Amino acid sequence: MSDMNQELKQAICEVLHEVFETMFFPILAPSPCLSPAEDEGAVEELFMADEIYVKSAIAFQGPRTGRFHLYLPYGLAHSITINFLGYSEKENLYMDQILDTAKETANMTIGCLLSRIDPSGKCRLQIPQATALDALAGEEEAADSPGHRLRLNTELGTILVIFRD
Amino acid sequence: MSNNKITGTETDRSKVILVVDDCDLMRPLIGEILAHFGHKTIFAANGLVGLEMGSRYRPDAVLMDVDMPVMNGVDAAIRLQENPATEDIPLLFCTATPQATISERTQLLANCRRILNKPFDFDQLKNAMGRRLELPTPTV
Repeated sequence: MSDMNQELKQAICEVLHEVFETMFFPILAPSPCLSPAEDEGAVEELFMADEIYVKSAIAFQGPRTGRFHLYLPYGLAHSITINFLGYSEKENLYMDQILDTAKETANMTIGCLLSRIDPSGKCRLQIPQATALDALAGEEEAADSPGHRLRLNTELGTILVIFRD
Repeated sequence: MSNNKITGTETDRSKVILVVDDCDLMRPLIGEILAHFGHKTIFAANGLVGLEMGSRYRPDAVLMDVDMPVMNGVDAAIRLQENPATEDIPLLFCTATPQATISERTQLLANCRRILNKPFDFDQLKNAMGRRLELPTPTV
């Protein structure tokens, strides 16, 4: 898999931060915690970790056609859903609510990203999909196909982004 | 024309807004913000249901997502504008879809006042409601 070029990597970082700050502000405030991991082996390590992830994916078509995958560690997905809904930590969440939040996060992120990297481009977004994964190990094959991937560190775990176009 | 129009009855400032969004989380979130402005909200989860509710209840304004199953927001907005009973209802698109993708189609819609890109915050929605839809908003 090719290394994500620095400009695209930076754009994804900034867009994710914008989405998180706008929609889920209490989680990452006051400092921007998202930062690209510099170590090459960091992404591979993620696939070996035994951690529950919430995967959301959305396809886009237009001058740039491809697919965007966002992998959120369960704890982070849970927390942003609580913030999104204005719930307290004690209230129970349904998995569907967490999946909906993950879908909306991927939707907003790819929409912002496409607008930023190609402001005049007319890209159509498909309906996002989301699912919970016991671990990322099963995703390794998909992640190895051509595309770009990026690991982002947050206070509540590591986000994996795969951008394929 | 039927007399089904529902109105904000508490004060003259209270309006009824139809929120059309397929995200089960976004609808109540937007509804809460609009309630803070003193408005009532009715909801639809896709463009077709939004079209039916718009025709039936003739809200004071519509907040419309774009990419939705069954019928997308632009097609629903076009149909609302084609209906004499709903053609004057101001409409605000709230979407993650890149603006360039939909601006060509929406510029033909006389009732489309603005495209508000997601993510948006409280103030952005407040400004869009006040300035573009000319709906009353609180000063705080």
